[in-house]
Amino acid sequence: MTDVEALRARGFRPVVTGEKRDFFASRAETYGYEVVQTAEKVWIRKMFRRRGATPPISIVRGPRITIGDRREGEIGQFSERYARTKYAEGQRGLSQRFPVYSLSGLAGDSSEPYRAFDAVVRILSRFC
Amino acid sequence: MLTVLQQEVLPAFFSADPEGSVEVLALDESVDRHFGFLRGGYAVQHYAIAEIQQGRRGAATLRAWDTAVPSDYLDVLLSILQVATYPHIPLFHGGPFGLDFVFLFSRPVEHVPSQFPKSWLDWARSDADFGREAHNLNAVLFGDSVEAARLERRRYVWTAPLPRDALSELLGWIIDRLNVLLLEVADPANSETDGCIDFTCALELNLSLIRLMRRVLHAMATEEAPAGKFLAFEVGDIIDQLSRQLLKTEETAVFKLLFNPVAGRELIKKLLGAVPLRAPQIMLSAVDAIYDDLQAGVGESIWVPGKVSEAGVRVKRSDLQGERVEEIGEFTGTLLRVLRNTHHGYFTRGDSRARPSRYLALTTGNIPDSISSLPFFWLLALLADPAAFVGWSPLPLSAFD
Repeated sequence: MTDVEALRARGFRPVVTGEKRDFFASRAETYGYEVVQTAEKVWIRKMFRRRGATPPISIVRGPRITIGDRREGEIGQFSERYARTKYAEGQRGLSQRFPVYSLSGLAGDSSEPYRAFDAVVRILSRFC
Repeated sequence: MLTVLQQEVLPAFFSADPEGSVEVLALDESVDRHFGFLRGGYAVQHYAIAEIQQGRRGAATLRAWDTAVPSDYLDVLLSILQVATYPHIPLFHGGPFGLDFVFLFSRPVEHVPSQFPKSWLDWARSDADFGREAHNLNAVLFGDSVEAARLERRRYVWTAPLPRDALSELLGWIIDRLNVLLLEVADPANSETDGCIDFTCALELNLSLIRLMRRVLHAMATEEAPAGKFLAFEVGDIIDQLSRQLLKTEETAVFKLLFNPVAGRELIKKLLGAVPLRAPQIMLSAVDAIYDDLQAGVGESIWVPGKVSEAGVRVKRSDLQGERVEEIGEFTGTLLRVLRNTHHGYFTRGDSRARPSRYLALTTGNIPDSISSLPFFWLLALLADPAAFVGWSPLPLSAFD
């Protein structure tokens, strides 16, 4: 088995040759890749491809809330975790930039994208 | 946020629906961030790094056209689930960026079409319509409630909503499938051309998938019946193209298959039937009903006497001299492809095989509006088994030394 075949068998795939090689190599590491450089190419593989590694979960399911079980403690922890994300940061910025928005029944009256977005902004600024 | 949720939102929801429930879903920002690698790689494949840095806008390629990040996928899929069993609306979702609250109603509310016209634009738009399914207005006037419902709703109408636990199970399954899909879409190593990672193809795959989902939702949520039909064609086109790119199928073959009420139905039922959940099993009857409607509608639309038989439909050969018999499923797939092609005009003389007129001459063009509900089932099939459906087989997870 050649070196190239061995890398492929381990799930590595080559990026490009030439001047952009180093750029991709440096960026790939910050995006969760293992990087192997050969004489000609940069090979990358997501960390979670490795045996035993746990793939990240894109969408985390939180508690299920019912009238009899508000799950306040879990919701509190979930909210605190959320407050530290860049999403929450962006949301706070949006709320500050558009403080005049408030919930409006009129906003739900249209499915046109810009109106829908407008409705989201209104709801979110009230929500946070 | 917590205060507003606990003091205002939840009390208001539970006051309206004491037996309802709320699911909370949060996006992991690290996965979201990896989508930036796709867009960056796409730009770097086209321009020098110095040029990109000089622009001081990051890699802004198509960013304003479609962000195509995980929150888009999640929101679109939740909205699809919201209207999946139209007219029964079982949930509503919303929340701040990166956090979705899914309000599950104990008893789905029923969507009631609004009175015509809703607005001045609605009035004007009615003159732009064509391709609507014809209905028997006399029957409606004389009290035929089934025909009246078809006329009013102009799409597939579910007789009952999904049972609550089946819906909840389906929601969980969709989230699980989306989790896997997002991981794989974000990894450009899944897209190779000539032995190298192809960032252009990777971003194009991402944009195609989110566009597909958005158009599925549009087809299901639009109140303009002909638009739903055209959107079903567009979704068929995207799936056809995905299959061409990944499975190397011939151009238009998969589009025709999707609208084929025999072979297409068989494929979709096979893929959905393999999902071990109650909802997809319940949905198989809807798949049958829509394809039955399509097959019957196309059969009835053939107005030239003596052209339909047990064996199929007699279609003119390309020289317009003789005829060949096409099985009804194959004929339907091709007819819908030809109708789809009219979006760039109707001219037959530009086609060496005279395909448009040979098919169009036979039909009144009365195609059921319910086909706008087909893309939802295609999307479920894609989520269930993307390898079997379009040939997308990402690198395996946790599998390499």
